[in-house]
Amino acid sequence: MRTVSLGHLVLEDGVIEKPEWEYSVNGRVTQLSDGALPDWNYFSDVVASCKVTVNLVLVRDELKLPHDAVLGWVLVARSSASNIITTSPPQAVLDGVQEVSLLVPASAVGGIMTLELEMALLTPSAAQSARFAPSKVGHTVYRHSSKLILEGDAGQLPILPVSFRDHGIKNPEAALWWLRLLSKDLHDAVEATLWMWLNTDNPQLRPLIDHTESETGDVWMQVLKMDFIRQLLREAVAHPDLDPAHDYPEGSLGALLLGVVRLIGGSVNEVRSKYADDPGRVEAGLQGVVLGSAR
Amino acid sequence: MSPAPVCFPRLPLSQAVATWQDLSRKSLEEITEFAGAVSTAGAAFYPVATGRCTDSDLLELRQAVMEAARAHGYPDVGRGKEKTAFDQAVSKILYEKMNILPSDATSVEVWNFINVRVLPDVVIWRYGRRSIDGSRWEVTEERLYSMKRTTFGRLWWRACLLGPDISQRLAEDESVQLIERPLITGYAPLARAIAIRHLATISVTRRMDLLRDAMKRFTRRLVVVSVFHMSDSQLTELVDDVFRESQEALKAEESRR
Repeated sequence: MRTVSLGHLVLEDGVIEKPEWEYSVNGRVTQLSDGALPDWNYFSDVVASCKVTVNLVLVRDELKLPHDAVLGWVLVARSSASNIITTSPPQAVLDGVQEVSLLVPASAVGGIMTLELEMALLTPSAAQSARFAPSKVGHTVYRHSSKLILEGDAGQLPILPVSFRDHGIKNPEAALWWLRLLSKDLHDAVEATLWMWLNTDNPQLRPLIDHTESETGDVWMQVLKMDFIRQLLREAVAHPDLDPAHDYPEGSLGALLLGVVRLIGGSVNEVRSKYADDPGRVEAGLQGVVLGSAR
Repeated sequence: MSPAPVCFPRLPLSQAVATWQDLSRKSLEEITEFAGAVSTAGAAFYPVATGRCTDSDLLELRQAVMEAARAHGYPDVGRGKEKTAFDQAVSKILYEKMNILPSDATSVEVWNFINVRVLPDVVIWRYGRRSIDGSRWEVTEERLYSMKRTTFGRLWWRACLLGPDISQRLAEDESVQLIERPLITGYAPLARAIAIRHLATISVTRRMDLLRDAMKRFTRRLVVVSVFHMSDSQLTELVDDVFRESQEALKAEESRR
């Protein structure tokens, strides 16, 4: 048992056996293939079912919960593409094996679907609760999640050819590119957050814009890639909310920035500290990793 | 029974940029003529789209949005208030007229098509201006190609997540506060309860401050509390409770000044 800063007791790992998940697409049970649901498309309803075994006496005991308090299950589906959250109606937690299901309508999902099985207090006890027992509706005591890839989420960096002259950049014929960070929200999708603008006023950049397959275009692409990752590293060490313990959605800015920090090795705080001491050295190390992997 | 939702044409970023660059050097009349000839012919759709919008769907959408624009001052430059009112009206029009699958509406390419092919003249009126040398129309890229700021997509999503009637009553700042917190707004019962509570705040001079403060408190509370286990009345109670806390915090802050 652990007490957490939530202010109430939660269930220790292992009190609930690992739930078993089953998925159906358009009424047919479907096996996952590398985490993806084959044959899914925008017109497919998905049913997620979770079979879970509970020793209710043990759970009540661990949570110091009076007998008249009722715990409930809810299955929650979050879609990375639409942000729409779909939930099953709450159902009381029973002793023994129980199944919790959720129909996620085709129209509500896309990208990666995160499913979360939540146990929380549904009806508080009328009696005085123990000091740290969950006491308010919704106090969450257990969570278990699963991810389903519905459609390719390979984040692509939008690259836009843009006239820097039109944007009032000085010496527009000499500038190269501009990494635009449209949002600092670590949960936002990378493709909605980052733009790489290529300057159409610089004639030297034409190979990168017009002939990316050419040798010159390839060299430019390597330099751009290195500079891009360097700027992301700078962003990662400066971002006050970047938390390595947080589970950022796949394809999000947070996941990307943590990925860049991991290229250097060490924790976020270690990299921050190294970068504050000697940013040039850290960036040189990054060049070795990034350009080395490109060979 | 309402007809099944459909998919809309998509315009990849590279094509959207090229089309816009060409359009931006034309007169507003030429751009209107170009948009009036919009068609699905040759357009790319979601590959396995079983239902696709038709040419007449696009033209009807264009006509409805143009009518709303004219009612709010198009093509005159107009004031900010009129444009906010236009956004509020169009949010509902888009949601009701488009009948688009939400999954399809997650594609920025769909909104590239709407911005650049269906309603470029309205985008210019809403967010554009003439360049200093007078040679072209300028509209920031965010309003054309960014999923978060796209001119019409964000208004459609506002109506989808908050409901068309509520979204019609919210100003831009208010909607942004609500929409740009997906962990909260993705759950329609909570988003709507917050919006309704916010709209019921009568003549509070710091109404936006109150909403901002409350949204921060919701973010913190949701770490501890699952709103998915709550009934509508419990949700309303939670929302009232958070707004009350915010109100008290703001009062305390004011009295310290």
